Amino acid sequence: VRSAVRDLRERLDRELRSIVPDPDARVAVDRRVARRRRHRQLLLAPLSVLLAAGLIVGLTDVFSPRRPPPTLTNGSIRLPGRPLQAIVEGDALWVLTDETGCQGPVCAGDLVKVDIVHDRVVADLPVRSPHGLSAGDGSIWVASFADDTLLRIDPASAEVEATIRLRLPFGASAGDRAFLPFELDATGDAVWVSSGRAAVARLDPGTNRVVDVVVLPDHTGGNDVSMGRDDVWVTGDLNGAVRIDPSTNRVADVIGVEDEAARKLSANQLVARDRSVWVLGNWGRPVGADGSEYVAGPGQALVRIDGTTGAVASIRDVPDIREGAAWLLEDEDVWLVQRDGAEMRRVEPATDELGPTVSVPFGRPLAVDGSRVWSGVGESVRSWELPASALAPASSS
Amino acid sequence: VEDFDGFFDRTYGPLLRLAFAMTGSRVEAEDLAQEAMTRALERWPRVREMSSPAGYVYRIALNLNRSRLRRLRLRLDGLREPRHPAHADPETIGSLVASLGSLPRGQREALLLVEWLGFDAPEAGEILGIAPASVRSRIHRAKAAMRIEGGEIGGA
Repeated sequence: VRSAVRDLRERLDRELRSIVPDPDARVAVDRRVARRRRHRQLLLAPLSVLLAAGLIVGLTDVFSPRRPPPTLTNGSIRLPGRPLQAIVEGDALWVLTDETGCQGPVCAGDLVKVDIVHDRVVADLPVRSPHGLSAGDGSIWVASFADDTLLRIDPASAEVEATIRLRLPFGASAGDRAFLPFELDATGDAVWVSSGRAAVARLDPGTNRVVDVVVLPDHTGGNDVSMGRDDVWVTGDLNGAVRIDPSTNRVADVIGVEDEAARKLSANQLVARDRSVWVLGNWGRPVGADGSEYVAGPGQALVRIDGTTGAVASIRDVPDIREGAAWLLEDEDVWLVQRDGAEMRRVEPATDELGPTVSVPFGRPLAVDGSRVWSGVGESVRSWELPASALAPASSS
Repeated sequence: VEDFDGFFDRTYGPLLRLAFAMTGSRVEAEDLAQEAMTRALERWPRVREMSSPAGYVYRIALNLNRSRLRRLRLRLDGLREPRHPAHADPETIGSLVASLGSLPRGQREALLLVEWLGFDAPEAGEILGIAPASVRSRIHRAKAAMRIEGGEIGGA
């Protein structure tokens, strides 16, 4: 037993040796302390000081929820929290951030606008528990998971133009009609918002009103939504991909994905492009009497569905066993990020090929803009350039 | 009495690896480790007088991880999709660390503190806020699950 325990310790040492600290970790700790000290001083300042400050800098600034823009440091752009999601729209990078170290169910967050020409933060809008970010109809759209709202943001001023309340058409439990918005896609003539509670809301950007809420089959799925050329696609957990016909706002097709070993794919994320729908999910097998629950097996897969026929065109295993260790990004191309953000590969739009593997130099890739990739590093974002080979057409699978 | 820089240099690496073994994510691990060190630095005059400042930051990191998991569950409340422990790809980081993901969180914490970091059961109990007997029991169950009793370590 002693030798087994010694072996255990030696193997843990060996396997964890590659986890080396970020060289900037010590500096990052100092920054966190300094920032917290500043916040504390603000909170604890006596009323008289607040009033005096109000006289000097103006009461508007004192009570404004806006925070001073973080400054550029060593190529990193400091953010007010940990970056969760990002999109590039014109000359701006829009980043959703979450409060680092938040311990409650509702966390402070921000929508941050970064000028990517000058690499600096130009606006910062507080959003509670932000989830889902998209650009469309001349606006930036962001969902507040905690507030059950969708915010329409003016991209020029970064001000809220409209706040749209979301409700479920059914009660998830007694009196509970919270929508819990999860993801959204505003790139077409409608804004589609998915709910973690197996529903998808369609909004008319002309009136900022919810025009319909589609309930997913078996009341399952809804993590992600993407608009294809003619249809809207939603993840349906073990049901795979769910196709919604936008002319009727009804479910038109449910496309399950099963492999030769009878594993079923639980779809987590999807990107619809032209005639292809790329679905990323975890393999799992149903258990229980009615098969409504399942146990997750090892492995994830990237699946291409032919959006015209609904046929599964290809299934490609992804080298990550953990959900969340791989994800999709999209600009003009679709990108597969794998190994917890350490690698990324371009997905050929019209075939089943993947481009060469690119090692990510730092952080978690959040957004791609041509050859420029934005990575989240701690409480900052930083960009890097893809090698030309990453953008070359894939020659083999 | 040690200064914070010396403490940081000595403790940050093991703390980061503990956080990684708990979360399976380098990013989450770095965040947890930095947050734990931030809290220690803010209270350093008090922390450095403790019998085990390292135990303090390990406790903070483990508590933060519990909060993170609770928060994740709350966010995902209403989803039917079951969650499985976050864990690493064995091809990337090694099969044993990856196989820790099959253990319940409490057993994983006790096993790492005692069998990897070398704390004894009372010290680990203090870090985890449980009785030493409970630490031993968790380790026993963890080893049984990983088939260590028979001299064989699972996850290979």
